[in-house]
Amino acid sequence: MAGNYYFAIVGHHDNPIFEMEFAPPNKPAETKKDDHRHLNQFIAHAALDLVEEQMWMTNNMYLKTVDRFNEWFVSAFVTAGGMRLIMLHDQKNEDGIKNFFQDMYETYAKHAMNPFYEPNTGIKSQAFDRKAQFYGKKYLTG
Amino acid sequence: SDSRLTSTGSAVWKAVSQFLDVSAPYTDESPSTMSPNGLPMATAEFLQDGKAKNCLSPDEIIEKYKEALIQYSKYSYAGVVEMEASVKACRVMLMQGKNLQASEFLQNMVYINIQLTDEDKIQRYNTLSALYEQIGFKRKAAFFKRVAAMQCVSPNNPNPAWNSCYVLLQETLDGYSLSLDPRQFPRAYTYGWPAIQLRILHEMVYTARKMGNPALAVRHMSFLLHAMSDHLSPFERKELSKVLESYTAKVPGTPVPLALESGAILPAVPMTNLPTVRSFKLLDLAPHLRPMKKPSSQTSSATSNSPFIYSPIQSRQQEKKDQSKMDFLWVSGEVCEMALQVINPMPFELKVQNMSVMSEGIDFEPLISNLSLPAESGPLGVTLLGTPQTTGQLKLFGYVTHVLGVKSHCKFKDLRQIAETDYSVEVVPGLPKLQVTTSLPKAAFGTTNHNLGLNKAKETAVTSAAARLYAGESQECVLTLQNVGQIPVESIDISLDTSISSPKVPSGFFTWNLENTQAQLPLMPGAMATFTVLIKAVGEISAQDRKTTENEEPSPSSRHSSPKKSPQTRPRSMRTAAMTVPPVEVQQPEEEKAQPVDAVLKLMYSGGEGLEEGYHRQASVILHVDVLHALLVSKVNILPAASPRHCHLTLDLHNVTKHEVVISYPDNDDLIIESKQLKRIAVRVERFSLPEPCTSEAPISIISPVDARSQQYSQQLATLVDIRWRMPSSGTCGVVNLEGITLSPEAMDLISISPIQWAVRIDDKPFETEEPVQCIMGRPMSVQVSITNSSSEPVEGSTLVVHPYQDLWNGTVLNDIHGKVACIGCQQKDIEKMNPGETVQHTCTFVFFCCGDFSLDIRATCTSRVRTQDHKWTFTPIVRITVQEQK
Repeated sequence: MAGNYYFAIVGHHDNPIFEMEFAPPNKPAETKKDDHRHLNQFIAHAALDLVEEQMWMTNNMYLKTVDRFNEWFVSAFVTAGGMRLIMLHDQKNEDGIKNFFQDMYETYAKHAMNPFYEPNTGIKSQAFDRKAQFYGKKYLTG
Repeated sequence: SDSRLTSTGSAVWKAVSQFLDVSAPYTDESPSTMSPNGLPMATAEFLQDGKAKNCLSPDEIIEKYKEALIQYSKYSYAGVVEMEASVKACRVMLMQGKNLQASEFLQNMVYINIQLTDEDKIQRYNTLSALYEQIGFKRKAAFFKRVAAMQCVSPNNPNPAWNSCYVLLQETLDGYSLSLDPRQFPRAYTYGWPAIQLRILHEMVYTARKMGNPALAVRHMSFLLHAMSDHLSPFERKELSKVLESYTAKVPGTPVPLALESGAILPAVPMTNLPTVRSFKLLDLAPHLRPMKKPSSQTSSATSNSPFIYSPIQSRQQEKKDQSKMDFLWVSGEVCEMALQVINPMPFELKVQNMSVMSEGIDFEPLISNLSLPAESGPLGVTLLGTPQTTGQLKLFGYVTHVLGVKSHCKFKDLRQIAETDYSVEVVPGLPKLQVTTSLPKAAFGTTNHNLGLNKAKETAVTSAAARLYAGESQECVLTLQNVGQIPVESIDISLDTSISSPKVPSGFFTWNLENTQAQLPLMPGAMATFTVLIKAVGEISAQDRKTTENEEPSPSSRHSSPKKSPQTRPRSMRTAAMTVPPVEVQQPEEEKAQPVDAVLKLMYSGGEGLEEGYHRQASVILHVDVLHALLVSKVNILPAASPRHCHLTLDLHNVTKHEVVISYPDNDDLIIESKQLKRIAVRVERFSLPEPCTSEAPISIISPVDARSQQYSQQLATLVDIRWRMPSSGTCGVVNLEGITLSPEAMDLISISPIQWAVRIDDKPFETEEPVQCIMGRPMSVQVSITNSSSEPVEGSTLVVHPYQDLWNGTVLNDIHGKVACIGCQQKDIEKMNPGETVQHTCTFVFFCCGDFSLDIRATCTSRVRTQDHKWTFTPIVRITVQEQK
């Protein structure tokens, strides 16, 4: 189930506060073209329209796949506070992504409780990075 | 078949766009306004009458469309039909308000694979974008708009359409929450996806260059640097700045809006963060150059129109005082300063050229400055200069910079860090400028000075003059006034502020004559005038223990010890006596312990138009005088002189200096007092009388009436007695100012002309000479004393006493001589009241029983309740009687 993943947490003003890419372990340093990454961001940004529509259709925070573009699927998760967790993936992995979102939500909630963290600003935390890496390995690429 | 397909495709796309154009203004709320156009009309009817038998239900329509699309997709040549169906389905969903389903149909559209020309591809994406726009998916719309833009200039395209690409890119900005209005930046929060925004801006810059519009590229590049600076790494900032500089080398950035072919107008991008101006402040002129209004107008403006003395509302209003209005004035034709704090956020040395301020209201000539700010430095203080040319209200509303080849007009209203949108200051007509120098050295004030008033004066003073003088010494301080301005000085006024000196500055310490200086007016530019201040050092001259010796009641004999000796001889005898006495050493004041006297001399001057408007300038000069003790008067005494119109003032002068002092005083040779020596001098003084201070004033006045009277007398003495000293070693000379001495009441009575005039007759012969009266032992001698009140006021409650005594000439006085003399009649007479001019006579007779020298003490005492002090008047000369045996 190894595939490529691009994960982003998007704030209230469509501003990404955290971004991370996950690649399969067998080809870790895949030639990530700059153009390629930009495309990810463009797709993730465009998918926000669909996230905003679909979040009202369900009681769940996990919205499953909301959009797709070419080979990319876009899954989303909207937190109670309106933060949007977006995942671009080129393979179906519904449960893994759901679990990943769930754990990242918890990690984010803990981080947001830090009084020194101002909501809606970029997350610059090594601990958060490590957690994200860990969950990525556990649920997505591992 | 390819060409056929293509043409069909174009036909379809034309139809689709037409359809979109027509339906674009429709909204779900007003379907009835639809034009009769096949499907939309049917849909409209359906919506109006949902229960029509032949019509499908809304959900059924979707199902039918889905089914149709599935069928169409099976055939590759049905792609065009499939696409049309998708678009139509999307419209229907839109009308049903089902945006999500509509987006599903649009999603499907992307994957329909048909061979299209580049132009049609662009059209397809553009249409897709427009549809997304209609269902409110702005981000999706922007996404496909950009895809269309990229399609315009795809590498396979032999003639890339850069212009269309640019237009399309510009249309994506809204979807990416990006505005080209530089005033919205920098923002407190990040709006949109910075990486995407950067990408779009880069693409716009690149497209603009490819379009052959370098001005546009510069504009976008400067916007990128201005707005996205926070999201750039230092390296990127440096690189982009280099790129911008290379662009502006060819086409400089302008501060004017750019009009595009499309009709859009690109606002100018002021580089407000290159450098970032953190604060802007207008500076007042230097204290001595500030124009001042005559004080009369100031008092009128200070009065509040509120009836309340205190009101919290009022004070709050005052707090909200308009910060943009300066409470000081600038002067026309003179360089004025503005202070800025600038920060360079860039990781390279920033060269800011042609920096100046922008102003309106009156003519203002800003001075252009060039700055060079080190990498990532700040805040750095920068001063901008300018000269107002005319008078009136000057408004400063921004500044101009030229950075990285971009000219920027930065207005304060666009700067979040600067509170005010403009700063205004009143400019008054030109005034002359005086430069003041003094003939004395400048004062060196110690750093440990805690005199607040002096410290404040120091800040505003143009210069200072210091002198070190002995008490009694005088010195001239010549102030040279040079007109260094352009306007002649037409008026000068001088005042002295002594409030900064903690002990009060005695009057007459500083004196000047302004008329000489005023005669030199008008003072033309470059001309000089002089002004002289005479400093008369007045210092403490009384020794601290002065009163102790005075308070003893001098016995009649000591006071009258040598009445016959001439005043000329007396000082010498006194001197010898004094030298034997050890000098008074009780807390002897040191010469070095100088008493500082500070004053501020204020020169108010004006001229030209400023004078007409009532403005003047004030140059203040601090005068600092250290007053050293020279001669101290340790003891003051008054002795009666032979003549009733005179008395002798004896002073014990203590030379506390380190130098020999020569004293010269009237009727005498010079007297030398060695350092630290004490000598007594006597001066003959004409008696005088001063009016009594009124008793009713006594409770009000702080000083006791005795002290007040003493002061009066000493002041009068000072005018009468002229004692001068000089120091041969240093050549300095001065006077002994007697104003500071304290006189005892007895002394004062001696000095003052007695209100009582005496006439003594002995044995019916008037006693006038100082010769002793010859008397025969055993024979009665009648003494007739008549006193006349010669003053203008009645004397009340006085007692006249005639008292015989024996002076043994060895310091012993025998008052009790009952066995030697008998009195017939009363020795004493009480007089209730003596009106002015009234004469009271008293006669008594003495019989002396033994030979010898006797004296008569004839005196009148007054213990009036009205008078503040007991007075005692003694008849002089003393009546001396030589009793002899009868021959």
